[in-house]
Amino acid sequence: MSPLPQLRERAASRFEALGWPSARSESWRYFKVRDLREGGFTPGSPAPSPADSLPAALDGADRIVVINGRTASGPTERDGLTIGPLGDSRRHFDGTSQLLDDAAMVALNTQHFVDGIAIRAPKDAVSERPLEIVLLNVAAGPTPAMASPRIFIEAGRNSQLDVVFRFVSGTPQDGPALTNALIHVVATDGARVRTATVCDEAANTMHIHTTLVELGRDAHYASHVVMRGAAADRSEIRVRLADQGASCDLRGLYVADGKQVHDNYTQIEHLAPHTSSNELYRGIIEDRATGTFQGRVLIHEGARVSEAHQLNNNLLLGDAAVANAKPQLEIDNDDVVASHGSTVGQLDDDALFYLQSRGLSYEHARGLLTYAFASEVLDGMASTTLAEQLGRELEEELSGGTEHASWPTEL
Amino acid sequence: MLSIRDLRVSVDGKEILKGLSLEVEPGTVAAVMGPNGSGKSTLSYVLAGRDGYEVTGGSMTYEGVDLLELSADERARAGIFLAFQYPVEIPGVSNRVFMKAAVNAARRDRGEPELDAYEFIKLLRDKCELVGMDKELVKREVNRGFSGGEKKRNEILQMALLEPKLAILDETDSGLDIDALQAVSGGVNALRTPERAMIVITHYQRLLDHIIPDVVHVLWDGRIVKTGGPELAHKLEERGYDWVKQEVA
Repeated sequence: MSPLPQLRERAASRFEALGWPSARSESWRYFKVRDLREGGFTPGSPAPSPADSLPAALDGADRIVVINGRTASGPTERDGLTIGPLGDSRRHFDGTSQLLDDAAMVALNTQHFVDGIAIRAPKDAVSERPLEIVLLNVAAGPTPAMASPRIFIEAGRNSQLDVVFRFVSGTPQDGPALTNALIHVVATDGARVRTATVCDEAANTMHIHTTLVELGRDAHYASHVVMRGAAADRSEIRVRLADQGASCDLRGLYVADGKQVHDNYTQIEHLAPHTSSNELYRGIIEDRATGTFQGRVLIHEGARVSEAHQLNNNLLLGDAAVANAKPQLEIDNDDVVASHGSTVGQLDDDALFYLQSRGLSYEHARGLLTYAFASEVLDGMASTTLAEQLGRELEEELSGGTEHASWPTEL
Repeated sequence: MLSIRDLRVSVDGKEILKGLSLEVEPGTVAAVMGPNGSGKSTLSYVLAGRDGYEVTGGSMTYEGVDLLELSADERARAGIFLAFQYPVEIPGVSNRVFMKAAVNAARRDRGEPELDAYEFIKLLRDKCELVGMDKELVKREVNRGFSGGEKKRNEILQMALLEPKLAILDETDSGLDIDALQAVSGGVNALRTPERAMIVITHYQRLLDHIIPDVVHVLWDGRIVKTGGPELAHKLEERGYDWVKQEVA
């Protein structure tokens, strides 16, 4: 018997019991929970693909397009990967079912997702090019519409896989929208998975994605989350380093202005010996915006000889801008190396003057320094093309010009 | 070219320059020597236009323009260059990206076309050779992890690229061993032209063995108290600043 209808039913009753996330929950307290709760969001209807709302494709990649949570187009096979709908295979849901109990947005996604996408990299498959998935939220009318995209990635033994998620909106005159995405990654022994998640939705959109990651022996997961858009953006990443030698590297960049709220919550569980985690999150917060990083790291008793490092830096560029930085390390054994740090500050005056003393205007100097602050986070991204493109766009946005043109390799 | 008259400057309410007057002619090298606390760094920063240096009296005129009317970046684009005593490390900013931006900012101001990456690289290669700069260093982040000598050489490279009319070298000899001092001085000398003026600010005479000045000024307690030829520097080296102090008093 298919587990899916039962699962959806359970999810629906869990959501009904839990309700929308509230500020009483520590991890949600800086988010626009009221707008979320009172937004009146209901599942959106299908919409045709507005080709002009799609960002230009990354080089050489035939991509998947998801509109309002429904797969609209894309390959079913590429570089040895198999790609298809989630169907009702138990494997695609088992890892998330226990989370329904306390994670309202996971329950809500489970209740409402339409077809979803399952991506499978067989044993030893190494895909050379990143798989690009564009997720478009088009609110067709004045009714606040909710999209519930869901992606399951399974990386077989020693396989390597890069996936790019680009969340975008339809045209600006569209009605209010909510994206509630769930990304579930299972990397088995020796596999390496990298994801890049770019949240670029319009100002009338609320965006939430939950990424769940389960790592086997010596498996590695690298994540980049870049937030630039939306009225409120939230990224929640939960990683389980479940077997020896598993490791993860989580990076995030949030660039918030106006009254935007950008919220990052990460939870990394070290469950086995010789596991390691690294986090670098940076925020650039302007005007009256709020940027938050909450990083929880749990090192369990059995996770001997493990290592966890976490760093969060914030640049406040407005008098009313707010940064919340909350590291939370819980360590249950003595044989670990752990560090965390967070900074909230302005640009370095000495560096600003140095650049100005060479003829750069204040705005230009400020832009270069801000770009420098941001660009380190983009290192090692799942798509180099995307990292370069984001770098140029950020620089343009932050300084009104680009200096990082292509350079001749020889000097 | 530069005329400073009776300049008074305060930092955090404390008067540091107390009526300083100084004339610098095109094509000349003027040394400003002084002991610690005499106001050497204040003079260089106030010329470059740094915030926090309050001019309470007097004037600074550069090519007929009141310098106080110009911001730091406008002064730079007008041809004033400060080689820092302590060049700033700027993580994440590539040296050559920064230098290209600086060169093009000045070119834009002069109505000249900007250099593209290829044109700039050619220029950069020539200037590296001129001042003896390791080409690998320009690909790194600005001054990050550079040795003391490399930082100073990076300053001289920027000076070579920006071709200022007036260069101020603030204690360029500090922290350099003799080999680095010779290399940096060689770079500076290569940039001496019949038009370019330089103000070489230093505590010690040894830099002036390598960069021979046309005129030597002694800065004492916020004022120029003595002016002479290169021999004045040697006299200071022999007899110390106390000798000036006694003469002034």
